[in-house]
Amino acid sequence: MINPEVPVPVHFYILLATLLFCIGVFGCLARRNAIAILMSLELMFNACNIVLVAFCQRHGVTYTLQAFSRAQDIESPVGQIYAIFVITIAAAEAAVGLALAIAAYRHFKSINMEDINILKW
Amino acid sequence: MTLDVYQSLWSYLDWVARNLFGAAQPHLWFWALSVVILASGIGVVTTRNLVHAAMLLALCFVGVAGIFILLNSEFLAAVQVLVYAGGVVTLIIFAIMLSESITGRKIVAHNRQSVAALGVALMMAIVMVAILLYNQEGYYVGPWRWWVTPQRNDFPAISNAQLIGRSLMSTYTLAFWIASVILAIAMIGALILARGESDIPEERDRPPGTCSMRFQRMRSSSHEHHARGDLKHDTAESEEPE
Repeated sequence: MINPEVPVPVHFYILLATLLFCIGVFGCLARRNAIAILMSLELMFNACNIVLVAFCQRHGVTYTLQAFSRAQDIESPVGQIYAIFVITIAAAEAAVGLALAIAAYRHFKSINMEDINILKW
Repeated sequence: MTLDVYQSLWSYLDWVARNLFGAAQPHLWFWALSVVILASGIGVVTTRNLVHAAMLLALCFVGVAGIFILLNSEFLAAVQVLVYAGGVVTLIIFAIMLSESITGRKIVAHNRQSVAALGVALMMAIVMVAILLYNQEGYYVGPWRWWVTPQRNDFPAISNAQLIGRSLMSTYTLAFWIASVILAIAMIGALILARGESDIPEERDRPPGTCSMRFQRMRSSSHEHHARGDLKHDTAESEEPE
């Protein structure tokens, strides 16, 4: 039924990332708490990382590297590097977002997003 | 593989361990990790208790790290566990604790689940020891050889972390610098945003656009000194425009 020698096709990774992204979108739209919305954002970042790495591993460039008198076929690490930058930006976003949540909690005594509406047209 | 080959429970466990940890089972691991990731993601967006949501988020991040290992990106998996499951979830839990009364009830630090926690820790210990006892090919190496470095002759000439390090230091250096500057800016901005109001009570009703009360007091006291002529050597240097 399942041949373990064949790697998992890239469609499965895309499907998993899509479902995870949709879960994150649902959380962003449905949750009222600011911290819960930030957590849903992190889910969406992770879905993007999965797609980046999966595409690069399956459809990326493979080139031969001569290292230490041995030739080795290596896959291009571009997707992983993009994922590392996404992780960096997500960490910065989490820090600023949580600081904003704490500042809003101190100001409004609540981080319910329906209470923070002074900038709403 | 029929089960009647295995005479005892231990040999059956041996077979399970060899087929789980040893041989490559990408499909099995993919489906298991997918179930974990999607279930914990749904839990994150649906559960009411925010602390439970943060714990499920950590579980989801660990599952995504497993997906990265399936995709031959070990360094990224380590970064995922360290940064996301270690850093971001801790930050989120700190924010939840700082803004208590979100969930409507006080968050308790101690619970009555220490027996269950002990069981989970023991299971993790058993799994880790089992990983130590079996080598890459799934053969039992025995408890007396756990300190021996595994011998592999197909060891890659350049590892995943080396590859990423070379790329970050050669091709993507500018992006690396920009990311570090962004991290520094975010850290300073988060500090300024979260610093909040002062603890000194008179600082709270200071009108906007004026300097700090303590600094005003310092300045006015030095004016008094000038007026009384206590600091003669200072008057020559700082002229007061009346």
